[in-house]
Amino acid sequence: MKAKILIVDDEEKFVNSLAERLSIRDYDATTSVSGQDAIEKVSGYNFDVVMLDVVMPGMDGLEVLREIKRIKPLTEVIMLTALPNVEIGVEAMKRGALDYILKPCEIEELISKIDRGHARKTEQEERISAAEVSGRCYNGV
Amino acid sequence: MRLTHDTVSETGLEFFAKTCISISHETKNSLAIMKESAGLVEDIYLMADKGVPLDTKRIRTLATRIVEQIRRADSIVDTLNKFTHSMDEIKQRIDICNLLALVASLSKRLFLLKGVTLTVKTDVKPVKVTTNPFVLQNLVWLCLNFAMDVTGEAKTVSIVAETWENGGRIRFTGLKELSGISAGSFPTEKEKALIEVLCAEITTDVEHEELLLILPDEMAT
Repeated sequence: MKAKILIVDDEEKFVNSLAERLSIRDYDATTSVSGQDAIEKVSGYNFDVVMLDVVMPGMDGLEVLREIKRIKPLTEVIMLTALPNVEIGVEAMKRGALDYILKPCEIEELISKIDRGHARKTEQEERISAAEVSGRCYNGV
Repeated sequence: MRLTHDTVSETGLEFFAKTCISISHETKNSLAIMKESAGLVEDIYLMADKGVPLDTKRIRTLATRIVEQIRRADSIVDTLNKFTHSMDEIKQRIDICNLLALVASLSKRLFLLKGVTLTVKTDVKPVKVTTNPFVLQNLVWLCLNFAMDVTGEAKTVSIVAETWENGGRIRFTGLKELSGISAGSFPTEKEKALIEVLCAEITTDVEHEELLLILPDEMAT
């Protein structure tokens, strides 16, 4: 099953084009143009991967990342950034981002990172599920 | 005096660097839209090769989008070009209205990120002074940074250029929370150093919620 993706960036034309390109490749892509809206969407839906712009009006990407990880710890986040900034990259990793990608990016590189994020989330969900099953067996349920 | 010059140089470098970061960021965003739109055209053609009917209307929309973004990037580069040419000569006879339009353009992204609206109002006639354009741009930019933080709920700043006595005056209006700032917090050492170089004056008018930057007709060399 292809990943459920949320693309968050204040450049509406960018998110729309990218979402369409991912949909053509059978990904379930949703868009958001603000941090606040992204958090609401993440709260209401089980996205596998969120692609999140670092610099946005209102809540910036790092704030949104912290909130996403708080409400959906297993959702993988890939930071999108127009310019390389080591400090922001390190801070994003500390806050739980899987990776970051520079804009403009090659679609193949992006897909490779999305698939890696999706696989990691699936694996973690399976581990949790297995642990829950063995826990129930241990407790004699 | 040495301290002032060091402060002016450091403040100028900071202004230049932050402006270049902002402009390159905006250019990259524009390039990213062009890249994804062109990529989408490519995808549509690949699908057509596999028998999906070609959506010509969609192709036209994407072509228009790319042209729009080329115009946007072109305008950003023009602004950068004007900005760098402002350093051609240390002292120039300039129209403050043009300088404000340029600084407003350079600060567009900064304002967007803070959710503040900036409007430039200018005299019908040019407001000319002989000054150091780069240092004046730097000072206006610092004043705008300060203004953004004291707009209150309205989140709107206006800058007005007008002829004043023998020179010119720039008014930063809409500063609803100007009365709330602690004494001595503005201008800081940075602004004071630039004011000294420009032989300018900064005053605040709490009653009218304005910051006033007064410039002589000709700055002393």
